[in-house]
Amino acid sequence: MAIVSSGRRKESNDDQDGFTRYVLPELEVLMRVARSITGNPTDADDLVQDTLLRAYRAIDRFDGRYPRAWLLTIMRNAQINRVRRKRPELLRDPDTTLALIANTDSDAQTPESVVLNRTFDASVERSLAAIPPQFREAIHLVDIDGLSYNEAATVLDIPVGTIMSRLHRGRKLIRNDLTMDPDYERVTP
Amino acid sequence: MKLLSRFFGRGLTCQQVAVVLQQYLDEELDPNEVPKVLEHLDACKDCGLEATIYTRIKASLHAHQEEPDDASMAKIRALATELATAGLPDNE
Repeated sequence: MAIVSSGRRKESNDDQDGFTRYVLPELEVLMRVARSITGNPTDADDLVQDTLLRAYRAIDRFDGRYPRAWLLTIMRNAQINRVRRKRPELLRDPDTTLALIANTDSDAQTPESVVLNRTFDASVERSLAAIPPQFREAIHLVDIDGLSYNEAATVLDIPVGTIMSRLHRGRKLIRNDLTMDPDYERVTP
Repeated sequence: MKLLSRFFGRGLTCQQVAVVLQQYLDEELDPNEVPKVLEHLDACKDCGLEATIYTRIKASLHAHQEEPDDASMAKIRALATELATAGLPDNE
């Protein structure tokens, strides 16, 4: 890293090319995932900014493989630090910390008007809000944010098998809940 | 995933499909194993219906995806572009 005449600290041209190549294409994904794990837009903006600064400082050590997973790891660690700064008592219980940072605000999951089948979507939404948070966070990352199993596992720092298990159990709860919905007959394909 | 390899050579049962249905719907199943699942889903009304229901649930969930608002994206893009071209501010 060099000090340039503007007073800014600048990485080498190769590193800056790497930042452009690997980080810029992932900005929208980072924003969506940050929204999921913080639960509100203001914290999400701050988390992405923090992630970008950390990524910039670390770009010279990044090998260029799986940039999204690399960025999600940085984001996860940044969020853990942010939560710990706000709630230092959570330092004693990392599991609680992870559950807390991944817990989503159910108010943030209101469907948009683009939904075609409002009855079915409303039923799914009610069911999603009712399932345990650890299942909901897995579903949010994979089904809503569009992450792969590996990427979601990276965000939550848990094994891929655990993501799969939580996804499957969460979806099954939603599916079973729908069968008890009085509107089910009308929404079943 | 090689979970199905032991079943190759004959059609899958409903239980076997149930084990891998979610990976199939998430496009996380080994592509070599997809045809067997598809074959079963086409032939079995119950499993086909189950796959359809989960597909609809996934589609409904995906509709919850909110695009980041323009102002937030503009701010983040500006920071990223600044980092990529001018480097870190001194106070960082």
